[in-house]
Amino acid sequence: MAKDNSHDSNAVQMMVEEQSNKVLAPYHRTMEEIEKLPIIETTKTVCPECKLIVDGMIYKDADNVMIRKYCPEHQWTIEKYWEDYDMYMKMRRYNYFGRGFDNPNYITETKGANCPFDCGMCERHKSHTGLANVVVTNRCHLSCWYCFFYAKEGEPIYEPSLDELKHIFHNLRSQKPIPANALQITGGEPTMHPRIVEIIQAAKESGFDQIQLNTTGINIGLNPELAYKVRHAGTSTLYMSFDGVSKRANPKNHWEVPLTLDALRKSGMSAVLVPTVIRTINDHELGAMINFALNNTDVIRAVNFQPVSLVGRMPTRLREKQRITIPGAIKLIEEQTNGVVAKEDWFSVPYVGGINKFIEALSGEYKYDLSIHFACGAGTYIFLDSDNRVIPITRFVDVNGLVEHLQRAVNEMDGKSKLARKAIAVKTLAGFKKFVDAENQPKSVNFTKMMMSVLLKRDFASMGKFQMKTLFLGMMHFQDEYTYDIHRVEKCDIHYAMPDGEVLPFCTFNVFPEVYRDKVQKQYSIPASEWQGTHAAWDYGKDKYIRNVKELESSAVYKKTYGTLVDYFGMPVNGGKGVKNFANETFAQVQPAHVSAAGEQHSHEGDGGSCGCGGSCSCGKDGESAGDSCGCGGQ
Amino acid sequence: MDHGNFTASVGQEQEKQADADFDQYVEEDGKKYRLPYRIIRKAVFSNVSRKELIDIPHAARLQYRLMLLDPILKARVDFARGRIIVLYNPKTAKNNKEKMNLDDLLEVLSAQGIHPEKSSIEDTDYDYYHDFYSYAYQPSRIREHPPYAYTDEEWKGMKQEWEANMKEGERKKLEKFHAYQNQYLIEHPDMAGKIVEGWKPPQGPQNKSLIKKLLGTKKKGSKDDKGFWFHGV
Repeated sequence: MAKDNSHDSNAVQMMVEEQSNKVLAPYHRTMEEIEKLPIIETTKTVCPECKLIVDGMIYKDADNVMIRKYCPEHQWTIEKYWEDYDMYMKMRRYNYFGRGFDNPNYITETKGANCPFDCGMCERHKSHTGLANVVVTNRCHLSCWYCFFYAKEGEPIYEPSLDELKHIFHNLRSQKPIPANALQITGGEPTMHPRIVEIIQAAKESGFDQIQLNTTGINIGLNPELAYKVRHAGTSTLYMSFDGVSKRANPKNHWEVPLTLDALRKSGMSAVLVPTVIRTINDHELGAMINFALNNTDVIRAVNFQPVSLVGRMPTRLREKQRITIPGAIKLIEEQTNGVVAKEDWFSVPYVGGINKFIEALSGEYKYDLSIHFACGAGTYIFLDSDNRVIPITRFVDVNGLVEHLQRAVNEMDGKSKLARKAIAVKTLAGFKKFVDAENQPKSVNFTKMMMSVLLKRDFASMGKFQMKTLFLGMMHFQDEYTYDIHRVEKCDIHYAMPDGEVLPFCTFNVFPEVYRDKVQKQYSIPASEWQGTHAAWDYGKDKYIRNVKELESSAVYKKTYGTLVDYFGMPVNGGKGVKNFANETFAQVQPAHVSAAGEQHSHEGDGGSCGCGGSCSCGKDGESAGDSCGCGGQ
Repeated sequence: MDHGNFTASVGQEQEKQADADFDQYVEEDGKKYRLPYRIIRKAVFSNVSRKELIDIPHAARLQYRLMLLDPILKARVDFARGRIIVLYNPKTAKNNKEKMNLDDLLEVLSAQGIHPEKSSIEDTDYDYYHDFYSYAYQPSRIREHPPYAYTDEEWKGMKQEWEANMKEGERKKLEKFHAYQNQYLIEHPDMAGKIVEGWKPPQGPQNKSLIKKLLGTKKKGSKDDKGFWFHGV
């Protein structure tokens, strides 16, 4: 019998393709090759299989920064850490240690050796709470297949009472030396909590300055009255999931976003769009999403991209294909905005630390430390000028120079008298102008003046006014077991407050849910049967949202929102080139069938929506239960 | 220590002894908080062989594995001291959560290659509410960081004033927030009644009488307009 060699040749062909593919090649080198590559630094990480704490080697592979780890039981794990070596080295310069907690939950007997399994906010943690997350319910009106944050049918309901939440808020506000000041109310879908308005009001009254509502926006869009209520109660911003402009990329809330933006406009609230970026799924729409935000700067303050955190076990090849890191997304943005928002325009979060330290040194009052790890987040401001020019802040402010200038002043002030400090401050501020290129700054912005009022008068309202005219572009890359770096987690400042009183970094809470998030929420949950007993009218099915696509698509607000987008990155002032996959070009195109991840076309007719096509189909069927029950994953 | 794959089901055959009488809430200052446990157990295993613990990473993984079990609330494995501390929900406890007893725990440890000497085990009651929950909600201050560029000495002198400023700041912030809320209702009169039930717009200046209307508006600064001039001073 003749041997079928087609499998072998396919495998060889695939191997050759993987080794020559720029994105996949770093995963497909031999260990001999890898071990010859230069190591940038070492850290501690975990084996994704057995959670053994092992050494992590962060090394350079061509333009990529990779992490490799070896577990005696499960061998090597290779993962992409940062897709741009130069950018990594640039961002790394501004890394600094913050102050952590003066009243931590406990003192570690193991002195941190068991980190990240000693979590509960120990005295070793190096950042205070920058953004506190509080889960108010695990009920959700959607059922996204990839989401582990919501109660499925029959599962216990976690929905703390108003008093319990007040208890948590008080705990966060009692942190020392810097009380948590920004709060994100999250879920499940937080608007499902029957007392959401009172919760927001209670949070505001307990002293939080900034309150974000992490939501799909669907309930707000469909019930505009709620927008007024939550705004009145103190919500600053809607932190709204938004995975793309097209329905294919964003089946989660594509149809409702126009209604939500409309409700926000009327109620005087703003939104931050939060796209989860997955390579091969929605990475072609990053520029389009920024353009969408620029078309709605009256209500959209920021786009905060979140390169996907591949939590949970998944096939290696799929992981390699879908992995994207902060610089990977930044490079795509450069391509998709015709270079208007370039790689050089971004800076890492700790950059801003210099500004805050300067204000603190001058005033003697604690200010927020933005001491997170440089690899966790990046950001930039872009400004839409009156002539439709899009100008990133770095084109008229030497951000690096400015931050270093301020940091030098902080160092100089150390231990000096009050008078000497003021003299240093005057000297520093006098030298401020050289970092601002007044000729190139947007016509309606006086950056020097604004910074002066922030630094001298601590007038953050002027910063707010500045933000009204700009769009903040952010990147926040949460970790997973493959990329886990304990140096990152010990500097995390996005924390979850748990019902048992402990506070956890985002990337232990969500990366090891089995010992943190799910474990503790389960302890404090109410069994479904008990819930049913106390909520007689409640029914799991009633919680779920049924979308009427036809009705939504025929609405005037829908047509206006998606049908009249200005292509800012295609304009002559910004380069004038056409943009591939641009939303307003593809918007009108009718897609008769869905394209699966494998490239094959198929229809949902008759398959009950269970194609499991891995995220590249559009599922806006009339009357369909929203939230992607078909398995396309909200991608 | 056993290197094989660990299954979370080890030792979890414990029956979930539901206790219908268990009061799931505690009351503090007239507020009720859901509290799943009261008196649980704290097992301290001392003199654990370091050979069995292998090394720090394996000790940390043992800690992780112990915490996978529902009846175990917290676990600490300290390689350096050869000590394991486990807070667990005993079968004797009155609550509706998963339970285990010391023998189950020893079995779990044994499956992980740890064989503590019975004489070095302390298994005592542990008050979850007072020693864990309440502490987590009011952790004590263990240190102080002065603001950047200030010494500890300087901070001692400044602290009192700073704390007073903070307190005053909080009060003003609340005041400002309530003023914002009122203003919001005024700016959205159509929705105000839905936002705050029964809300009525603040009374404006009284309607002018017919005579006043006929006589026209008085000049600013006249006796009747005093309120206007003093408003906001």
